[in-house]
Amino acid sequence: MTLNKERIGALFFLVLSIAYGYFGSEIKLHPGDEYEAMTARTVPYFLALLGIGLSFFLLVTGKSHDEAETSEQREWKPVALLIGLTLVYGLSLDWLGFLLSTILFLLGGFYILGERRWMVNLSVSIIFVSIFWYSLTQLLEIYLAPGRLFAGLFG
Amino acid sequence: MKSFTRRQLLLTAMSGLAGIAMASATLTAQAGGHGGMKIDTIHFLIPGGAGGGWDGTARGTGEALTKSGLLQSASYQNLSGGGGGKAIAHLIETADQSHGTLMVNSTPIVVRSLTKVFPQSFRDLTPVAGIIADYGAFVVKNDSPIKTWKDVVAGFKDNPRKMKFAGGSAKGSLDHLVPAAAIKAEGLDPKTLRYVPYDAGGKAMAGLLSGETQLLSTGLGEALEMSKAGQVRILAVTAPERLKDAPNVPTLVEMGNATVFANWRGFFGAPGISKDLAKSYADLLGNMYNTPEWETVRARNGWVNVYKPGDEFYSFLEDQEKTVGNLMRELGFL
Amino acid sequence: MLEGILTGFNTAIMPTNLWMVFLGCFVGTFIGMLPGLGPISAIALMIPITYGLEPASGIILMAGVYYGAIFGASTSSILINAPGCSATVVTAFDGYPLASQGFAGKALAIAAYSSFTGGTIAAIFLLVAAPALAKVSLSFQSADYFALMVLGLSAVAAFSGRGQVVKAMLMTVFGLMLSTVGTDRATGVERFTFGSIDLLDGISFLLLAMATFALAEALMAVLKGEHRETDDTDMSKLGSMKLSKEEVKEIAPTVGRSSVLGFLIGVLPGAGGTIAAFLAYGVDRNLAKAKDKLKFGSGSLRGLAAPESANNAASSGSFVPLLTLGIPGSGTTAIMLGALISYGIQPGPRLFVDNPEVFWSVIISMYIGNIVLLILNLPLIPYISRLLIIPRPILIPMILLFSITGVYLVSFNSMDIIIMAGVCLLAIVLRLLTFPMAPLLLGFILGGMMEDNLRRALLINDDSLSFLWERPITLTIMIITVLVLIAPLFQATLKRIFKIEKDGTGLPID
Repeated sequence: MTLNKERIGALFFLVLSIAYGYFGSEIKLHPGDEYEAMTARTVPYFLALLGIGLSFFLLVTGKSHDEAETSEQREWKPVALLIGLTLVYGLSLDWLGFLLSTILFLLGGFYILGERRWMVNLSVSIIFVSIFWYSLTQLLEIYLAPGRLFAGLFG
Repeated sequence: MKSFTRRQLLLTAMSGLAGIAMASATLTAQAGGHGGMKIDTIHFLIPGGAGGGWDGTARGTGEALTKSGLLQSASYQNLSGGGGGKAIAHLIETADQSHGTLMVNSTPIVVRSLTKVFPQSFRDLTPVAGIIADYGAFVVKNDSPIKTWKDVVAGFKDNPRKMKFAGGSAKGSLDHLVPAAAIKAEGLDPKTLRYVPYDAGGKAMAGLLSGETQLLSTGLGEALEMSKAGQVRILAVTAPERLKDAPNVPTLVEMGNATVFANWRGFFGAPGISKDLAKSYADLLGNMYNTPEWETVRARNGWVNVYKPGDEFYSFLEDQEKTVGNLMRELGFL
Repeated sequence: MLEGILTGFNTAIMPTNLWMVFLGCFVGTFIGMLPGLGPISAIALMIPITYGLEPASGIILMAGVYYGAIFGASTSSILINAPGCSATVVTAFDGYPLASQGFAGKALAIAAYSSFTGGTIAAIFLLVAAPALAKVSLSFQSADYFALMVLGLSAVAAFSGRGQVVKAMLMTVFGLMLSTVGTDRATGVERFTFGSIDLLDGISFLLLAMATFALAEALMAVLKGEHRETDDTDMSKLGSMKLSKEEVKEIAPTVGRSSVLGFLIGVLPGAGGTIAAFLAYGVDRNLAKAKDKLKFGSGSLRGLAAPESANNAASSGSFVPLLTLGIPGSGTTAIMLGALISYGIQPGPRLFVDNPEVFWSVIISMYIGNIVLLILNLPLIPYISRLLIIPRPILIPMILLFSITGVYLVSFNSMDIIIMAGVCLLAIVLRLLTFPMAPLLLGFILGGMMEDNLRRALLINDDSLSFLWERPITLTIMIITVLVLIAPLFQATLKRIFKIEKDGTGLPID
């Protein structure tokens, strides 16, 4: 029984389903719920059992595929960096404001993907984000909260 | 837009950046400079998405205020999440810069702080004023054998399972609590009440019309429209006295049931704003009632004017918290 | 009724309103084309603008944006495999492979014609059958909805290829599990929120779709090193936009079928363009001959035409419950409902009486909107394709940005972005382990509604499951479900029977 793609996935779902079922048992019940046919826990329990059953089935029957495809080159580094960049963007939005953090996000993205012409990067991101910001706030009159860092600095 | 040169766009970008900084600076400066308490602009914080009830209230109020000239400008910020808790937390965190902000909210702020959906309560904010209210209504389909509220009570006494209440929100929310309170006031056990939850008021109404449920607990505003169309009948309303928009609908009070319940909507300021500023906001909202612009907004939304400024609002909220809290404890939700 | 149509026509062709249709379609196409910004975002963005307009003009503008956004979203699904909204996720299944094979022009043309036909057929249906259909969906009860959701889930089999059935089912279960996160809509208790305020309202569908499709697809391209391929010549050339007679013949029955199916599903409250597209795709795949079936997923014309006709038909269909019952059939119509109420228009049975001009002008403007889209989109396609000449290192971060802002600009909650990053990482890993993503979305959409409706049906029926066989509508839907589930078992037999029949009638056999 080798560890192929299907079995790794099956194991993942097996663990997930067990954890899901466990946390499902921590769902609060209302008093009197014991007389109800269906409580907030019913569906989670059912799904956990179904998940465990299906992943167990896949674990046992999982076919060994041609492993050649895995030798394909994977570029994990830029992907990891881009996900990291997304996280930073999410964290910085409230503090730096939409305009600045979005410009930085695009600059970071261009850089990670190997675009090093700084004039191009700077002009594209600044022009693009400015138009985007302008159409959102001025044309569509959507309120975008200013960065708290600046609100704090000037306040 | 296309005729813009690169330089112009860059300039726009730069001025945009500067604009953010300046906007935040003026916001605080203006808040700090409140002496005569002339309010020129209000920033409305809306704890839900565009198109919801809170959104409509804030934008409707803003529209009436600006169009009538009581206010020069208004801006609106939607911040949803955590059943409104996200916006409350935001207003508290940014209190120092938010003197120009009013957050719209309604009865759920009381219920949700009781059930600990969010750790804060209305006490952590500055209640400015309650402006409108919707009363609870019990509704049946037009051809229903249930004719009056007395029929409901009699049916419930006979077998609570035969007298299920449907509503457009989860168990333990307003649509559930209002019938529970009314049943309790009849001397019956609210714990035996069977409540059928739908995930929106409109769906609950459709459920009633499809014959799936017999009895609906909802807001009067929502029921009135369908009742005018002759599709449904309103058995009772939880207002203290008959309403001029619905003169034919009896109140529970006149039928000997003391239940009065108002689902209010109103505005809150950031914590720590001065009494004077809070009063200026409340006065501004109070002046709004006399404008034809407000009347337009009010009429098209079917709102009922219920003005509760400042301290009155605060003590009303305390009362409501106590009543709702007692009921929820009895029902086992707390 | 004729009077109503005339009133609506007069309102709809007023210069302001014609301009609104045009503007709405254009802005909608533009916003929808940007990957990540779908109709929900587009309409949400429009609401503030429409506040100052007449109610009829406002709703016409928003309806125009709605069709435009779905139309535009198809374009980005086809050209860069980044569905602009959930309803066009299925469009990418066959549209993108077609585009990568150099038939981008053809794919876009098929999308345009299918959408046009779907929209137009649905508008005719709407005009003729709106009152009657409203009555049908009025009599639907929780038990029937539950059965309908079960039927929807059984369509999972249609998406899963050979040897993928268990994996598809697991992903469906995963989607169902995700739908239980957040405050339980029936009992109000928190489930799987782990004390986080950001999970209280549950995971938004938009977020999940965006993270597992738009974001994950863009990052998968990076993972495979595609961002280095600078001269992507086959993508910048669209190829011919003309369809041959054979091709028209091939897709015509599909378009007709899917339009009807899409409209019917759109009418049902709670279902919508996404489910319609998924179902139409599944149905057409099941109906296809063995040889054609293989092409599904790798550039089948029918596989593209089916979801495109269906999602447009469904978006027209979802106006039926919205306008006649005041019940939104989808997330998008839910937003429109809110906007209508803020105009002082209460959609519902009274709308016919109180504001006939609104009701009828929306329907009439659907025809006009469809024509505008066809004459607007086709000539624009060469310009739209210019987007793809942008170098990948510049384009990919922009796609990421639009996916993120598409979610952020609806909730304005920056925590959503962080959740997206996590979901996206998980989606990439699952994709690498060859797990299909579409069943996840299907399970997620249907899961919440299925649980709510089952629980309600049980509560109403005093904890007995007897409604499953006592209610005729429920029973009918359940029987169809069983048929769908067991159909693959008898496929071989059925095929033999059909072949014999065809021999007998002298029809050509493949």
